[in-house]
Amino acid sequence: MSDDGGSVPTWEEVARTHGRFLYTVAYRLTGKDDDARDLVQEVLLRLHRGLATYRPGSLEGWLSRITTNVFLDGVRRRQRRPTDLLPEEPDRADRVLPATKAAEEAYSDATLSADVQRALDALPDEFRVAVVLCDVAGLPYQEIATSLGVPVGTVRSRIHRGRALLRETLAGRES
Amino acid sequence: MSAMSGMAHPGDLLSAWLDGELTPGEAREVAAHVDGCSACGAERDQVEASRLAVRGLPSMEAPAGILRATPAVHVGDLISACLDGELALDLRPGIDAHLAACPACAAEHDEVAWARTALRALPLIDPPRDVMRPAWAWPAPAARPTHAPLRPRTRQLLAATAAVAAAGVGVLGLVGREGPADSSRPAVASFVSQHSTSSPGPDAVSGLAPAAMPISFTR
Repeated sequence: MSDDGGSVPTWEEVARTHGRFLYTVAYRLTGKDDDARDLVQEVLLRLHRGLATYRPGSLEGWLSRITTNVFLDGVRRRQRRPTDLLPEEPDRADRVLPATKAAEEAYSDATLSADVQRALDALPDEFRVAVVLCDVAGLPYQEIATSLGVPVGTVRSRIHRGRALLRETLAGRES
Repeated sequence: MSAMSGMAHPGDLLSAWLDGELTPGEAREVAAHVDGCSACGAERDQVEASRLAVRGLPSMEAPAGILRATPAVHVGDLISACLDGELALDLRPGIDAHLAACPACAAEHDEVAWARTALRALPLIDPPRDVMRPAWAWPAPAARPTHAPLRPRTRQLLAATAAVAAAGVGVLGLVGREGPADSSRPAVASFVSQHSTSSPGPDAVSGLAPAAMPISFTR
């Protein structure tokens, strides 16, 4: 099944043709290799079960929305169980420690990337999601708004404030 | 100027008169009254002095930057929308004009643009090998021992089924086989038309009897 036929692509097709994109979005959202793995596998599992409804269009946009929804589901679950966050918080500053060789290689030649990822991790979830969907996944504002169920004006505000906060976090680095 | 005559004194018309805001007729009547009325003449002098005093105030230099730092509304998140091409085209000139006049927003623009560039320059990451091959999709070699080995009877049944299937395929191959058309064999219709015995007479060109023309042995 292909993405131009209007049917849900199989997880094999997604893994084969969009695995890199999917993992990157997941990693930018979570900032941790383990969490990104879990996120990707949950997305693939949803595809495998056929729970997702695919409409003809950008497959990457569709994948981004599913990934974001899975991510936000996890965020909401953690918010309902705040004690889950306690063990995570102390080492939040050290979250950017890619456990896999591939991820490490991706960062080894770009200190800026690691710094940006760290600043991204420090953003509030709603800002980080908006910024990742815009600047990493490349979705237009309207698609982000539809995906998140918020007005376009809110998306615009979150993207702007997210970028401003990120720049503030990275202040001092030569531009 | 009957109304004015009734009022006796021109009052606040004096300022209008001094500012040239009265009609010519009104102005003439006020002037005539002031010339003949010492009280109104004195009032005229006071109003004129105040008027000239205010008008004579010097213009002031604006504090440095004050005119650039007080735009009506800062553009805020429209900066990001502008950078992302998400802004209506008719708003763009206003944003640009504001950015040119407002150092605060210009600085914010630069900061946000820097962050945007840094984010978009983040590299794609190759996923770990096992991520795209989830555990639930493994071929599950461990699952085989859980199946009971095939019984001899089942094996025989499967073998018989396979044999029947193979035979069926062979038969289908013989029966259903359609090779390419043999051009060396004329179609029946064309053969009939060329060699039909129904030709009524000799060949129109050669004058000879058609090869298949029936020969009558009867007279």
